[in-house]
Amino acid sequence: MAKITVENLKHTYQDGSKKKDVLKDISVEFESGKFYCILGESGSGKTTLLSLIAGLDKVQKGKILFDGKDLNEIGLTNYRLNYVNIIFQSYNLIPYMTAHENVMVALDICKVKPKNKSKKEFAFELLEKVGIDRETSLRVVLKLSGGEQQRVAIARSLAQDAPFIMADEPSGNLDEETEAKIIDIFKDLKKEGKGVIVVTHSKRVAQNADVVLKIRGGNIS
Amino acid sequence: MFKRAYLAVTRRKNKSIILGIILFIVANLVLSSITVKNATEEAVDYARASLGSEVSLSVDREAMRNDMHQMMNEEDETFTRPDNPDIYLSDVLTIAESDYVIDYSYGFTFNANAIDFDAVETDSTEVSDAFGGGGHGGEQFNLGDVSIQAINAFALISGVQNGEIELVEGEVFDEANGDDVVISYDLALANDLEIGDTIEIETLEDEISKMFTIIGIYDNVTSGDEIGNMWMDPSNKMYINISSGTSLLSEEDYNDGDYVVSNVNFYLDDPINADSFIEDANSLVTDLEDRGLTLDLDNAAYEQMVGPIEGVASSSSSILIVVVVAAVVILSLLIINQIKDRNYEIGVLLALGEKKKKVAFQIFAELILVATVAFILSFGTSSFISQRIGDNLLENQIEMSEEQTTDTYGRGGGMGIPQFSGVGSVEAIDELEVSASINDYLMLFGIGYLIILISLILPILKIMKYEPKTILTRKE
Repeated sequence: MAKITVENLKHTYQDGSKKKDVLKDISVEFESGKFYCILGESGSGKTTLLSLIAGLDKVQKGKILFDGKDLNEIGLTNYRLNYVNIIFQSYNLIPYMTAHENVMVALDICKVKPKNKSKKEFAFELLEKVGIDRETSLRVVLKLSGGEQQRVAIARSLAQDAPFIMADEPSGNLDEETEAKIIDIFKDLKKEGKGVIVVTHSKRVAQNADVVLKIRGGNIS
Repeated sequence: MFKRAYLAVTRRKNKSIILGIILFIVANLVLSSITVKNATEEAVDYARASLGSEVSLSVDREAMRNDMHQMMNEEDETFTRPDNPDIYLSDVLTIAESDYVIDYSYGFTFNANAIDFDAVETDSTEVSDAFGGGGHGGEQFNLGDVSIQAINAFALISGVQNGEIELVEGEVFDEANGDDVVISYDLALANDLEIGDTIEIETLEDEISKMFTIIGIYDNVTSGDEIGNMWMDPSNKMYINISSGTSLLSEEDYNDGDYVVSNVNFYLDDPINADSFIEDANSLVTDLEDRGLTLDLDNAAYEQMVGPIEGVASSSSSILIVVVVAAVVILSLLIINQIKDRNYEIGVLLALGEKKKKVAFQIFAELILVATVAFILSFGTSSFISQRIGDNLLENQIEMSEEQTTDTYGRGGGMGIPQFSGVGSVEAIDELEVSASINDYLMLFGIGYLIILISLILPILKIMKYEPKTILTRKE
């Protein structure tokens, strides 16, 4: 079982001449095989926390450890490449590529070598896993609906068999039906042993999580 | 990564086309500059090979003038005009040993009386007779009827080289020939002389007479309305072999074979070696300067022929530099702008774990792909463009050189008399055959890819500063 440990994490933003303490003293643990939900009001620091544990930003004070090893020691690029997958609210797909090509990009970057199948076939399988059929897979992502794009983003995050999947407002732009499908995918991933960490405003997502963390005033309550 | 680059180029068609058009224009200008420059270099090489270069050994007139000024100052109003220094045959033969010399000419000129034929009489001759000039009936100074030039090679006479005189009948002599003579068409006509006839002349001072067989007849292409004596009339000029000439010298003048010569010219293998030759010659005959002699490079023909084209070579080099600099600036700005548009995409790649250097390499690969297509397309158009550029540059240079020539005549001619350089028969190169070779195409790729590489420095530095979180949260 993989584990991310956050110890006394503090983070400050420079807002003009003023400094703003976004995270004051956060200590928390995330384990694979669980579905975490981080709730909080806008500006509470939940996205900052996700950025830090996803290795997208550098830790200012405190520590983040992956299986006991400091992220700085692992290297942020290496950490993002091998241990976490990130899904953003705006899907962050490469707009001029097809759904299939977007997944292929991730497979190439992560140097995934699927057993007994080609990369191409594996990419189709990942997309089918999130409900995107082959015909849709071959369409340029800009021509897909929001829900389809988010599912492509999830499929892409699955390209690398990382122990954690982190998502920032994955259902923020989606209708209820599509949101339900996304939640189901996350639950399936949890069952497969992956740790799912989702930052959201959605109560529905929170209701399906194993652990709900609330951030208020830069602290977890 | 290459697949990503290919997709980025083919899927973002409009942006690739804009970039491609710029690179296509750059490629055409670069290739044109290279081919025009190479064509001019080839033309200069051809001119060098076809013209060679001429260095004359003569009296240093400037040094003589300085000496005269000094003497005037020292002795107030009375001074003795210094004698012209002599050039001896031994000087010529010694200098001719230089490795740079491919041929040389020398000779001497003297006046003589016609014994069994009549010199051509012109109106000007009659005028000069009134001033006491020579001629049969001259009672004052006998300056002779004809002017005889003894020369080691007829082909190397300046008049022949300039195209002012040309052989119309018979043949010319060389150093192996005997007592042969080449006379003018007018003289032959006036005396009803033909090839194979003989004529007799007599020297003025020592009255040595000799028979010569006519082997050639030349014609003056340029008519000379010179006022003077009969011997000055170009029609009364005749050419003989140097060995025949020496037989007409007095024992004193013959000087045991080391006689005084004039009209000394050395022909070099390559104009580029002129300075080295002059240095070499001065080391072979070390007292040339002390004796008031000087070696002068006569590159007039070469300069006249290649002058405009050297200007074209210089202009094409300048164009190349301007194009490269402009291309680097324009491409840098364009790439920075395109990268700005792709911030988000780059952020995604970095968030997925891609290394920054690989992202930078992807951008480079995209540019190389577009550039390669643009460069190949330019093969089809550059020949037309480079020919036009070459022609325009050459036309401008010819116009400029013509204006300069007009200015020179206006200043230096005095009394409206143009200053002829003696290179009338040499025409400036007024046509350039511009065509690209495989080397030119390879050079285009070298320069083109270098432009891309330099243009990428700033954009890559920008990418290296990227943090995925900053980019992605900005998007959020």
